[in-house]
Amino acid sequence: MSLSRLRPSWINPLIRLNLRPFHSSGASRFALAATRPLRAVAAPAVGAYLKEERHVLNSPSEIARKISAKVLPKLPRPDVQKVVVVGSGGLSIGQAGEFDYSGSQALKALSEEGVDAVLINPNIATWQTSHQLASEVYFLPITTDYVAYVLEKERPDGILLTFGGQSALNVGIELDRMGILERLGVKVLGTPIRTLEVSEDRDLFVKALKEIDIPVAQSTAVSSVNAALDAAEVIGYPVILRSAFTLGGLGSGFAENADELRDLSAKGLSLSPQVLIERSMKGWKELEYEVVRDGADNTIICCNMENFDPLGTHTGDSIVVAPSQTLPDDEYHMLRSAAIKVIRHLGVVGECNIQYALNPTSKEYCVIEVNARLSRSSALASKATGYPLAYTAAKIALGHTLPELPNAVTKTTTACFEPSLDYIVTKIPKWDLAKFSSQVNREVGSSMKSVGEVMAIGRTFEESLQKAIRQVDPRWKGFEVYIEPEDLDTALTRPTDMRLFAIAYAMFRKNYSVDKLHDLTKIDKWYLYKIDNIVQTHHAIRNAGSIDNIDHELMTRAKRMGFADAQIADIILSTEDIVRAARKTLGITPFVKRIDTLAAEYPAHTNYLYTTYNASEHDVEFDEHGTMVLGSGVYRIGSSVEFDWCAVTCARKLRDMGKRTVMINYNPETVSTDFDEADRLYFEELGYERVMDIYELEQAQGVIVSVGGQLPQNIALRLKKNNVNVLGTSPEQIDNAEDRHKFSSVLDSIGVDQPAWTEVTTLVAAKAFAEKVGYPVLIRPSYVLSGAAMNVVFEESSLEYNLSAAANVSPLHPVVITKFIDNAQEIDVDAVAHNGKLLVHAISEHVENAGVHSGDATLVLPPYTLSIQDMARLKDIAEKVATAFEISGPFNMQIIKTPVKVPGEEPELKVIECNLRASRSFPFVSKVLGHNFIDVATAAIVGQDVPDPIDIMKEKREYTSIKVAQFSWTRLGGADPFLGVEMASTGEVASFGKNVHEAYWASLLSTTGFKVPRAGSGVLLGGDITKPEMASIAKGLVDMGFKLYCSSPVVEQFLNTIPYVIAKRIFFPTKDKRKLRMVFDEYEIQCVINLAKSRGLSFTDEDYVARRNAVDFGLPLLNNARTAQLFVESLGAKIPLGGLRSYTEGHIPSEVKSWQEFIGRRA
Amino acid sequence: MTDPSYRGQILVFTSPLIGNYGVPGNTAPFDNKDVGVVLESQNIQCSAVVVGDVAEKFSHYTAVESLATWCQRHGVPAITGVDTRAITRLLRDQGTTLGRVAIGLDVSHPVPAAEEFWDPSSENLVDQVSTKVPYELNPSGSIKIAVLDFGVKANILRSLVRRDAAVTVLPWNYDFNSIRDQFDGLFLTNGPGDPTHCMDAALKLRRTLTEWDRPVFGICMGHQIIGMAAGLDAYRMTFGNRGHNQPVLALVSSGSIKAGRVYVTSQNHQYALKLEDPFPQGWEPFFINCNDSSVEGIKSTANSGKKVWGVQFHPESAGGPLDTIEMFTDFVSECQAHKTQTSGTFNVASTEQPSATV
Repeated sequence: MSLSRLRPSWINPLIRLNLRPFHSSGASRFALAATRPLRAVAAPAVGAYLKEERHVLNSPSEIARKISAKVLPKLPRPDVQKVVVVGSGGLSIGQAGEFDYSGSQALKALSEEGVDAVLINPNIATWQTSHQLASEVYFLPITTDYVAYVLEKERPDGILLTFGGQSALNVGIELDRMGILERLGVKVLGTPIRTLEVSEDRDLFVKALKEIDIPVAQSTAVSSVNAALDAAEVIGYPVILRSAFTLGGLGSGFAENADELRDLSAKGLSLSPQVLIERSMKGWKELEYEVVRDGADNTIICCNMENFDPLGTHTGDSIVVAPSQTLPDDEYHMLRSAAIKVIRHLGVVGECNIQYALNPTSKEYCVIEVNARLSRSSALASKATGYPLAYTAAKIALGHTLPELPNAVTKTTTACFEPSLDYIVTKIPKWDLAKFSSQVNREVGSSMKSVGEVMAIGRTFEESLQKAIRQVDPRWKGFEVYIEPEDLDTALTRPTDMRLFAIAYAMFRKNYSVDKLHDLTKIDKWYLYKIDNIVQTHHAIRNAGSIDNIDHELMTRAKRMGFADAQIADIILSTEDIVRAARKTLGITPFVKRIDTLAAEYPAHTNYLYTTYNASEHDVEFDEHGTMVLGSGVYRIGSSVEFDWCAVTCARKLRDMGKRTVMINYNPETVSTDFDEADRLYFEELGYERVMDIYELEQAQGVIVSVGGQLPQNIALRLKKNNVNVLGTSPEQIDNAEDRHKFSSVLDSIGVDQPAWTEVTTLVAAKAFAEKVGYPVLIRPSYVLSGAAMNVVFEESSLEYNLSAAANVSPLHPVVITKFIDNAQEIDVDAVAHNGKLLVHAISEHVENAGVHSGDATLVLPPYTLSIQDMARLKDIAEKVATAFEISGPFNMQIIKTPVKVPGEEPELKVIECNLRASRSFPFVSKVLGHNFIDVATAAIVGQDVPDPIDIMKEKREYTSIKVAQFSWTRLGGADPFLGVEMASTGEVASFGKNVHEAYWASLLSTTGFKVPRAGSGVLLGGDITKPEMASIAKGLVDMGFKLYCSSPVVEQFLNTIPYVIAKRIFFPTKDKRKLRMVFDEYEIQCVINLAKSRGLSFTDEDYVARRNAVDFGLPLLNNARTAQLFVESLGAKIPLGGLRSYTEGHIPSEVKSWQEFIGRRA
Repeated sequence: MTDPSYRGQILVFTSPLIGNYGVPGNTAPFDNKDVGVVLESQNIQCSAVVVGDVAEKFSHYTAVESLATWCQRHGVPAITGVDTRAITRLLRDQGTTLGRVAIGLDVSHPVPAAEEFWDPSSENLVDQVSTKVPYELNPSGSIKIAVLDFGVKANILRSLVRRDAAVTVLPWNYDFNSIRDQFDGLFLTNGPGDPTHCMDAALKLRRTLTEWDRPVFGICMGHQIIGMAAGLDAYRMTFGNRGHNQPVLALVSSGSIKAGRVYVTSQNHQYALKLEDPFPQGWEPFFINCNDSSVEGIKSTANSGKKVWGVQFHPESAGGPLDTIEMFTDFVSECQAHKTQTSGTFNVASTEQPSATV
């Protein structure tokens, strides 16, 4: 039993049942109560939620309540006091921020019920991993073993498995299979395990749907050509063949007849041991329905969504609209009725999602799959409708029925209804594929590749589409020509991340008709007609020629179709400011509308808002004059859930300080877009135009730009220049820090060191500088032709290559060159200052040497190698920088410590990067140190209740925490898993331990998919043998009984010269994946350590093949010398303690401790 | 738009994007599956249409024309580019309102005085939309059902025909009592306007209900007529219930309907029955609206010896959810059961009952 629950022992269990909601809520639950109140719910998630045991309809009508009490089923509510919620771990492609949203809502629901929630999630940057929401938080791996240990330690009564994505679901099914849930008496709340199993097991699923005569998409796995032909006979041609384990769908394709299939399957089976044969439904519509069902069998559809891209593109990689637009009533309801039938048959209790394929020329349909859990789509549906699906699902899991629950928006009506939308939302995925080197295949298909998504709300499709385009990337101003595909028809038929712009090119430049585009893309003509409206309006604006010729009618038409001021300016060669001024002179400004789930039929009490030009009046009054917080926008490489934590924390702190808040964000995967996190939520664009619109309408007190990452910072100076009250550090200072020349001279003036750098416009000048400071140098071109933007170059030839073949250098495209210091240590400083005075700071140490992007690096806090002198000098730098830039708010610096050449010499500390905003590591340092940096920053920004300066780094700590990057290499077929100066990770995890080794062990295991190698198995070693760590790594592994293998004679020779080390060189096929797989199996290779110096230059480079296949075969890969060394040391420390042993009853490892237990209080 | 219940109304669509999939051809065969039309009736029934953003070009394999050309062909004015949400908020606050559609120069004309507006509720709209002469559908059906037409939606007839019923559609004020024994059941349809215009039908039904024990089912207006016949009052609601997402709570189990379950229903009504406590002898509330507790259905009690139900919502949907579509199956089965039951005592029924009704 948890210490935090005080239960008077004299209460008879039977009485307790009736009293539960009263006595277990309130302060007594928190014996270790913090000094400030912790609230799960910023504002009540739902209004008049009455904690009554009676089963009563939630209705504004007293008679209805009275009558309903007699007939509503008296469903017994599970008697649970403590419930474990399994999170989803680090953000990765396919499993991202949406589970922070869903987990957070589940925790809100539990806390309202007075249930102690224990959360397991190593994703330290999330909002859900906070004591506001959970009684206990474990930053531990989402694996069967660790969840089992937590269950054994915490002894909960129940567990929620459907709020942590696929990871949590898999763990739950496995825990049940192992009998652990039953042994520990843990009830699975919500959807039963059997339902989860049926929805996951394709054979069972097909069988279940056949029982109720619902057609289902069938796929047969075969491993021979004959079996493929047999399967196709059953399914009927045309069929699609999918290879299971190949790069970017290599070997997949369509077959119209047996001959084609014979060829295709022969090819596919040479690449992969198994291929899938499926019926081809090319060009069918793809639809999704979000279904909620309670324990009393009430079943409703919250939302349906339609994919803009026809079947074949993963729904996560499709443009999606809600509600569906091309389905007539009968088709909509045919699929709705089928959804209800399926979900009732499967027995889902909570929320789930069902995907359909629908023939566009008949009423034929089939079910593609059912996700019997919260999903990315359910997050989207929640934000699209205002219906809090995850919250409702958690309440249902606790035994409530839909009629008893309130509609969260109207608060007076029941949750048992179906939202009606009087607007349209458009979701567009964010891919960021360019960030992962040119090796990544840009085609999108059955496997998801996007890293984030945006959602835009409008009252025409044109308006929401163009808003969404701008949200995906602020460089895009709307539906315009941004690419010029060489092979246009291929770019249209085979979807890539840029297909929408291929359509733009085809319409604008090649005059493709809607019919022709439909033939090539199979996108429903309705969408193409609407897009054509945008094109025609663009032409009309261009024909007008100048701003003076754009009359009221044309301006209205353009704005109603979602044209941005800047976009109009581009078309008529004017400026955004001129267009904005002219538009306002014409009296054309946006209107604010409210999302209320019932299309205005009942008054809403929440302020979930959007703006539109397709309106003639506002839904709200502007009398609150709140403080605006700009959110992070779309999740992408380098900007993710950590900034959502910052924005939510900031908004809550402002409210605690008694201020009204206005949040702006457009990312459906976030908690900041929960309508109860701020007094007003604008689900809107974060560009200059919209932020100004909202500021002017709201007459806001000020705008906070420093908690949402780089996006809001980009417009800070412009806002300031247009008389917006930008709160905190002055935008001029932000600009000083971002402009390399200004920044450099400021550092010089305060005596803070930095690496030598220059900006050049010719190759000759670049060479001269490199010659002067000596190689290696870091180059940062401003215009990139292919490949990554930043690179470290070690010799003149690669400098030449990088500045001629890969990037352009010219007076128009200058290149910044910085001296790169080899073997330097990198340090992150996160800090908060007020009026130039340092208030609080944190110093984290990178495990990797400088050269690995700080977002990909392994961070240790508190530092484990820095001396007291180093710490003092770092603090001194922070103080100087805070003063020089007159910082009021958060800031972050990356500093390198040069290697000491002569013992006793003082190492140099050089600032390489400085941002006057919250950084990626703010949630990490706040949670590890138990000191909320954003709370302090918020006080500093608004200049109210500013705390006294404190040096929390001086405090001795008995624990260490390590943050490790989460990569998504498996999803990015072909990409080289290589760490460089360009960030490649999609998320991060952090775990605690009593020392560095324990913390690293737990955090490495926390990365999704990490499998511990078996004792005595093989390790494939390779890469850069000049790294001093190579020898100690090899020696360490041999000492622990691992067998070493290598592919290159050079590595073999090197390893075998190390005393007591034997390494065997093995046959290493670089082209035949199947054979390579057999080699790995033969030698039982379960781990790959390949110390990469640079990206592989060809697909047959042995080091590239080793790294890539480690990923493809699901083996742990260590590709950096320092982390590999730390891994070997951690293995050495863990093996004697049973680190390689799987879950063993009664042997809870020492790292299985809650956050609170590690840091000693509820921070 | 083809639902006769919308007769005389200006329809404002809350969903802003309208006309996306065009309008299908509106002819279908008369057989045991179809009743002559694809939509809900031959013509557009409403007086005007107001939308946010009409699709000028449509896309669907069944579509033959755009919403605009269809309206034009039927001479029904329609307007797009309107803040329909603003109108909805106005209607929410003051209830259904008399209005006019003004485009272009019309706008500069002076607003008509209140008394100059035509008020459709002052007319007997049912009389305008109801069939003038009786007609028969699917005559080979296994049971015979009479339908009193207050403005029937085609899908009600379809739903009966597809369940193997032979359907005779009668004008709303037809003297059903004179021919009632030819039928195994009676159905009362939806219809436009104020039910008190149909008091005549309610009085006739009162006699039917006291003298005749076969199943009776009514929808929308039909439900109100049954209610009035049972002695309940109908009243004009402030705003009414509209849309495809109205949750109703079942209070009694019957057939496919389970007590305590909430069903999502399609609705369009301005008038409703008063929830009285107690209910008239022999009657009980069947459904209530979850949001405003208005009566959504009534039925005869189990011990009343009758099989009579009325529901305010539209189980036949079109458009709307199919949650309660099985109520048609329930009705047809009850008629079947009654027929089987009475056919055993055929002589008694055929000799005694006509004399009792004279």
